[in-house]
Amino acid sequence: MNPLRLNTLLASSVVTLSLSLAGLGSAEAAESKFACEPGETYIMNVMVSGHPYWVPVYQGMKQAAEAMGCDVIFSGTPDYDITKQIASFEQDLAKKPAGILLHPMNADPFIEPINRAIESGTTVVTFAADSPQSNRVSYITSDNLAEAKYAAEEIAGLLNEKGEYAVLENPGQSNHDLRVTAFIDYMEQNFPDMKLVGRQATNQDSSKAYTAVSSMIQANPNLGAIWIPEAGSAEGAVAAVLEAKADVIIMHADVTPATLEHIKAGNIHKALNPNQGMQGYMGFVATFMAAHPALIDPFNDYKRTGFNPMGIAFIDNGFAVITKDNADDFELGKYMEGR
Amino acid sequence: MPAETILQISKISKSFGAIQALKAVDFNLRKGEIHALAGENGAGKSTLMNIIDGILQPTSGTIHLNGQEVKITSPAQAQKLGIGFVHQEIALCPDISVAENIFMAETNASSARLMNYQDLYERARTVFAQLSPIDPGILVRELSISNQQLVEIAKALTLDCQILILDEPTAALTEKEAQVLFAIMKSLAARGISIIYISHRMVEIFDHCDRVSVFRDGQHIITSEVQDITPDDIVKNMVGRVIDKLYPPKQEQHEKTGETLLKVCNYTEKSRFRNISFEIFKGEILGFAGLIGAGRSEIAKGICGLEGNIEGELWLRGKPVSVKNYQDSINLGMVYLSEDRKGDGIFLDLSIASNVSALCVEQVATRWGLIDASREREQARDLGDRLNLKRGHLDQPVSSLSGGNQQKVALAKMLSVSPRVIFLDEPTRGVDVGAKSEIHGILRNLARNGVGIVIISSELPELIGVCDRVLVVREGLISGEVSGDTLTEEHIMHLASITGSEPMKGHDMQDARP
Amino acid sequence: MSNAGIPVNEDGNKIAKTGILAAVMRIASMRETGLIAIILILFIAMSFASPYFLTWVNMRAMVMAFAVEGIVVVGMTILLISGGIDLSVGSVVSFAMVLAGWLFLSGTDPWVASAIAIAACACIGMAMGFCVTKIGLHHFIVSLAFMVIARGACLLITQGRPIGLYTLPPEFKFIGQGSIGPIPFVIVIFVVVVIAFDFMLRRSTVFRKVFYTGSNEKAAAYSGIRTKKVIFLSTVLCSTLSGFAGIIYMARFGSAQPTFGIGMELNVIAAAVIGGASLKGGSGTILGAILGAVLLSVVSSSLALLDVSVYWQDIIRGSILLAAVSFDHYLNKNKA
Repeated sequence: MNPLRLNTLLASSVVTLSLSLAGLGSAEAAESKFACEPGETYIMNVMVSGHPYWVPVYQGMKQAAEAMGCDVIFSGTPDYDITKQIASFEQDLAKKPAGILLHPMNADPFIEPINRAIESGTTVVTFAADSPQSNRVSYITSDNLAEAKYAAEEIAGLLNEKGEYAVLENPGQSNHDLRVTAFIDYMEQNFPDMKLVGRQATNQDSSKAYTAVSSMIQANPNLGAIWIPEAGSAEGAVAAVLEAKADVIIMHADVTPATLEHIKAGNIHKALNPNQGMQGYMGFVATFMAAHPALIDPFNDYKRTGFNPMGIAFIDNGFAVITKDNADDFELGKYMEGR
Repeated sequence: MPAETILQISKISKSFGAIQALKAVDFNLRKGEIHALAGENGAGKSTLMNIIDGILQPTSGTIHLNGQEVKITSPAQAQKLGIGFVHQEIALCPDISVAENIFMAETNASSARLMNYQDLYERARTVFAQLSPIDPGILVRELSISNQQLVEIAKALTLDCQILILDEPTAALTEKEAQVLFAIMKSLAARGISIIYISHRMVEIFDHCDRVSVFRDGQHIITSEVQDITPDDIVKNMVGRVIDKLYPPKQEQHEKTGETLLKVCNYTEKSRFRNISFEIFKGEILGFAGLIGAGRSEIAKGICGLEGNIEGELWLRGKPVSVKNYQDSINLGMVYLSEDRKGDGIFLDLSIASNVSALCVEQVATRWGLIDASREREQARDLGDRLNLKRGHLDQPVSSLSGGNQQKVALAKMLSVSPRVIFLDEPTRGVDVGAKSEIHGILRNLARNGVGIVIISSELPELIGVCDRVLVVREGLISGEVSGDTLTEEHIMHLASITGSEPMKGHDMQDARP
Repeated sequence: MSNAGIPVNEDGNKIAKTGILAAVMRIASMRETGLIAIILILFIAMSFASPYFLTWVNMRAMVMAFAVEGIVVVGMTILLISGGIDLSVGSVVSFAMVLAGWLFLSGTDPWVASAIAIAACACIGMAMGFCVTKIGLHHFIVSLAFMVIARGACLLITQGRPIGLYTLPPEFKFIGQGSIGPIPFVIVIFVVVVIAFDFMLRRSTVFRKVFYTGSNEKAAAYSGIRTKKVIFLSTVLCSTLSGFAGIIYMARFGSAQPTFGIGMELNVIAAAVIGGASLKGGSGTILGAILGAVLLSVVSSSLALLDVSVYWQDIIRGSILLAAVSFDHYLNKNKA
C-alpha cells in the first residue's frame, strides 16, 4: 500500500558524529585514532541469543568493527534467565574487553555488574533495552514514542478515527511497555472515538497470544485493530484472527521470518522494525567512543563532574515500516547470504 | 516309570567374573516326572534354572533337548522350545485384568489390531477351571498374593510347554491352595509334562515328587529317586554337614516360669479381628497359626500400633499400657518383624550398619543428635556377630547379602533396641535350611533369656518344631490353642479351617525332625 | 550413603578388600570423586584452552552464577532423598522476592519484610506437604499446581511489572552485593549453608530418617519413623530454603521480578541428579549435588569462553545430564 518510508529520526548529534567518522575512517585509517589497537576487543551481550533479532544488529556491529580494525565477539545466554545473562556478562569481563554493547534483560539487576565493569575498565553501552540507574555511557534504541505515534495514526486512519482496538503487552521490558502505553495515550488524546476494549499480557509467547486474541475476538465482535509491541505475540495473534475469519487489522513492532510472511500475504498490515543494522553499527561506534574518551574535549562540565565526555544519554537508530511492497528487503536469509 | 530323558544337561559351568556359580554340572530330566531341586540359597539352583530358561548363557557345557543339542539364548526362545518358568517373585501388571496378564506374551506377539476380550476371558476361564475359581476379568491388584501366584502358574500353563519350572510356588500359598496345586502338577505330569520343582520344604518333596537333585556350592551333589532317600540325607547333602537337630530343643519343664510378659485382653479391630485375648509367658515361644488372611499378622500389627483402630486392653509385665503408634510400642520394647522383608522389612539400598540402627538411630548418636559412625558400625558388628551374619563391609548395602543374611539384618534391627517382646511374621520365608535352623536357634536363645517370642508362620512344621504353644486364628478369632501332645498338623489345620470336616490328609509328618 | 570417615578394617570380611586399599577403592568409587575428577580435568583443559579461564573474574562469575541457586539445590536434594520432588522452587524464589519487595515499598523494614516472605514460603511448603501427606496426592502434581499458583501470586502482587528496589538500605544490599575482603558475601552464605547441611545430612539422626523414609517408606514406618512427618518437613525445608534464596537474589539484584526463576527447577533437579540423588529417593549428598551444579556451571563457562555457538550450548548441557545419569545407571547395574 504505502511506498517505502524509512523514518530516519536520528538525533542530530549522531548524524554529525557519523559523518565526521566516515570522512576520517576511510582515507587515513592507518594513522587514524578511530581505530583499534591490535587485540582490542568489543563484545555484544544479549539474552535469548538464538533470537533472529540480534543477527542484523551484530552484522552492523561487525561492519563498523571491521572498518575500524577491531575484534568483536557475540556473547550472552540462550535462556530467558537474568542470572545466566549476568553470569555471561561477568565472564565476558574475564576477557578484558574494551567495551560491551549490552542488551540487559532487566534494568535493576544489571546496575551493580555494569558499574563494576566500568570500574574495572570495560565500558558499557546498552541497546534496545536500558539500565537507566546504572553508569552505562549511552543507550541506543529506536524511538518508541515515535513508533507508537505512527501506529496510532495508521490504525485510527484506517478505521476512520472511530472503532474498537486492543493491545497485547509484555510487561517488564521497558521498550515494549513504552510502545504500548504511549500508543494508548496518543489514541486517547487524539482520537476520542477510538475505544480500547482489550489489554492482555502475552509476554512474547505466541500460544498465549493465540488464546488471548481468540477470546478477545469472541468478546468483541466489532474489534477493528490490534497493536502488538513485539513479533512473538504477533505470530499467535495473526493465527487467531485468521482462524476466526475476523476482519482485524494487526500491526506490530519488530519482525520475525514468520510475521514477514504474513505481511507478504496481507494478514498483517504493517510492522515497525527498529533499524537493527544501524543499532549495531552506531552502537559499536558509541561503545568505541566511550572506550576512548580522550578523543574529544567537548564544551561542557565533564571534567568537573567526571562524566564520560563521549556519553550521549539516548541515541535513536530510527525504524523502518515493513509493508507488502518492501517485505522482500527484510528477508534475513537473503541478507545473510555470503556473510 | 518312563525312562525317556527329555532334557540332558552336561558339564555346564557358569562364572561371574571370579565367582564360579556352577561347576561342571550334570542334570537330567525325564519325561513326565516331577523333579525336585534342593539346595541352600546360592547353591546354584537359580543359576541353572536361569540357564535353562535362556536368561543366562553358560560359560561352557551343553544342553540337549529331546536328544538334540540346543542353545537357549533368551526366555522367548525357551518358550518356543516349550520351557515355562514360574518365578518366585510375582511379576504381573497390577492394573490390568487377570486374563490380559495371562495372555500378555501372546497379545504382544499378535498382529491383531483390536483386543478380543471375550475370547481372552473365555480361554482364561478354561485354564482356571482346573486351578481355582478366579474371575479372569478382575484386576490383578484386587487379588490376594496367593491368588496372584496362581495367576502366574496359570500363565505358564497356557504356554504349550513340555518343561515347567516352578520356583518355590507354595511359599505364598495356604495349605489348601498348595494341595490344589500339587493335584494339578500331578495331572500335568500324567500328560507327559516334565516339572522341575524348587522347594525348601521336605514334606512337599517327599509327598509329591518323583526324584530329587541336591546342589551345593555350584556343584551337583546327588540325584535320587525319592523313595530311596531320607530327608536327613537330603539335608546332609545340602549343607555338607550333619544338621543333627533341625529344630532347637523346646522349653524344658523346669524353665516354665508362668510369669506373664504380655497380656492382651479383648483386642478388637472393626473389620479384622475380634475379642483377641492371650498371654505370653516369659521363656516361651508362642506360635500363631492360621490360613493366610485369617488375621494373624493383623493382630500382631495391631498390638504394635502399626495399623488398625484398636479397642482392648494391654498389660506389659503387669502394668496397663497404651500403644497409639509404633513408636510407643518400640519404647515399650515390643517390635514387629514384617513378613515382606524386601517390601517393608529392610532398606535394600542402605548400608548394613544403617539398617541395623534404623529402629532407634538416637542410640548410636551423641546427645547433640549427631550419628557416631563408629558406634553405629560397632552396634551392627556386635549384633551381626551374635546372629552369625555372613557379610562384607558394614557400609555395603544390604542388597549385597543373601536372603537369609538379609533376614538376619532385619532381626539385628529388632534386637538393637533390646526388645521385651518380638513378633516375627514368617521369619524364615525364602531362607535356606542352614540359616533357617540358625534363626530358630537364635529365637530359642532369646526366649531363654527372657524375651517374649511370637512366631507367625504358614509353615506348620516350623510352628510345630519351634513353638511351645500355638494359637490358631480363624476369620479374626482365636479358634483354639494347641501345645504338648496336641501340637500336631492335624489339630492345627482342623482349628484353622474348621468347617467340621476331617483334618486335612496328606501330611504324614515326613519332615526332617529326628 | 554414609560415606564419611575412613572405614575400619572388618574382620570376617570375605568380599571387600581390607585396610587402606579398601578405603582407597571406596573413595574412588564414590560419586563425588568422579565429579571432582571431571571438573579438574575440565579446569586443566580450559586453562590451556583459554587464558581467561583461571582468572579471578571468571572464577567469581562462575561461582556467583550458581551460588544462590545452590541453596535451592540443597533443599531440593534433601527433598529428593526423602522421595519427593518440588517443581515450584523457581516460582517460590520469585514469590519471596516479590512479596518482600512489595512489603518493603509499602513501608516495612526490609529485614522484617524478608522474614515475612520466608515465612510465607514456608507456608507454601506446608500447604504442599499437607496435600501430599494428608490428602495423599503426588509431590509432582502438587508442586506443579503450586508452581503455577505462586507464579500467579507474583504477577498479581506486581501487576506483571518488575519492582525496582534500589532504595533498599546499603546494609541490606550487602547480603547480595557486598564482599568480605575479595570474597562476595553471597558466596560466604552459600558455603556456610552447604557445609552445614552436608554435615547434618551425613551425621544427624533427623536427616538419617529422611534417608530411611526415601529408601523404603514402608520399612521406615515399620521402624517406628513417622514418615509423613519426615516428608512434610522435607517439603517445608525445600520451600523455606527457596524463599531464603529469593531474599538473597532480591538483595543482589536490587529488584524483584515476577518472571524470575522460570525453569530454575529443571537446573536444580539436574544438578542434584548429576550429583547422585535418585528420583526414587533414598540416595544423594549435598556435596555431590553442589558438584553437579559446579559441573554445569563450569561447562557453561567453558562453552562461553571457547566461543562455542550459542545454538550448541543447550544441546551440550542436555547431553552431559544424559551422560551423567546413564553412567550412574551403568555403574549401579554392574554392582548388582
